[in-house]
Amino acid sequence: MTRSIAIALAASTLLVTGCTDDYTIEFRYISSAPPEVLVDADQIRLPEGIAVGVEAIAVEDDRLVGSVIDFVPVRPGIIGIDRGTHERTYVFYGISVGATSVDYYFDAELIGTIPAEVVPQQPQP
Amino acid sequence: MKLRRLLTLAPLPLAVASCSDSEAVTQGTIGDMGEGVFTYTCVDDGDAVCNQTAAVDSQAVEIDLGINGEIPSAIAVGARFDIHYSGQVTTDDGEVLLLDVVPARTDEVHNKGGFIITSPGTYAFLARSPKGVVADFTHLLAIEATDLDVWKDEQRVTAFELMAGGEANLAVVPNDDVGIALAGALPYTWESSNDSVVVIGPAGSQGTPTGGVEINDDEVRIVALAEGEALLTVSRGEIAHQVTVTVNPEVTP
Repeated sequence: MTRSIAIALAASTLLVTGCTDDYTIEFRYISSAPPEVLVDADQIRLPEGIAVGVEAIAVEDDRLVGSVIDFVPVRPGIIGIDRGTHERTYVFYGISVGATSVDYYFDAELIGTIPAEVVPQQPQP
Repeated sequence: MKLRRLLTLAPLPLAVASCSDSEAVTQGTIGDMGEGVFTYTCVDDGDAVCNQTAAVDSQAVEIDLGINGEIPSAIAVGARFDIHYSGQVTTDDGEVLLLDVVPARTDEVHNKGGFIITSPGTYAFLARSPKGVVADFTHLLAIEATDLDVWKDEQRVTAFELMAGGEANLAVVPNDDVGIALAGALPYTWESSNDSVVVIGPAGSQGTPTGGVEINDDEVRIVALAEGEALLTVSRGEIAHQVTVTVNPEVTP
């Protein structure tokens, strides 16, 4: 019995890990983006006051998924994320300097979190 | 910025509001998402973008200040201005969006009868619906004004002559430390050192101004009353520019 419980636990752990690892998001800029801007599945970095348009596509097992992604900043006073007018398009913008994270949901289910930071603007040359 | 300017030169089918109620223009600046057009508008008389007189050589400053509602190269910190957005924007679901222009950063941008940016930097302005859909955005650069130029008859001036009874239109344009002309309405103070020689009045006024200090306008009309010399000072905060006006006797035939 003990052995079967252990096997079941190991299997469920693999299943959860697999779900998390199998889903990812591919980002593509759809507006110009200064060099300081970084929006990808591992990290989001924006200078304060700067906006960038992105297309975000959910990918599962290297296949595009039609799910609508909702991005929710944990600290909305740091970074703003609004939907664009077209499917899978979003506008990310830095509101104030600080660190936060962005939760993302597929079909209202929390799938993952991306660390995010808003950095000070570089002084004008 | 050059790319933006190229984009703004592209002909646009949209008719958009101009900075002056009396002018009709057909250009602005295409947003970064390409969905519509952002148009710069003046909120009052203190903005060099919307000069009424021909004192400033518009071709000399239009590359910085923009024409026909383009987003200017830079705005003066503390200056008032407004931005509008035009475009029939619908979502993929067919919903027509009602869009307001709002700043991405609200801590450094005041919005009371026009925008005021309170510190230098680059600022995104979003065309955003009440439901939080952003159709488009543009960026504005805000720079501290460090110098003022006074213009007369399309020339920058520090001294000029008038005949008694003559008059002239003057305009001030704020600059940054490398000479970029800055948009936005700033509160200026104009003063004559000698009201019995040269008096200052509002641009477009008629007759002899009553004298005293003229405030809040980037353009003024001066009238030479009598032979002599007067020092005109236009100032904005700690920045000032002085122009010497020499009034010669009226020549009688």
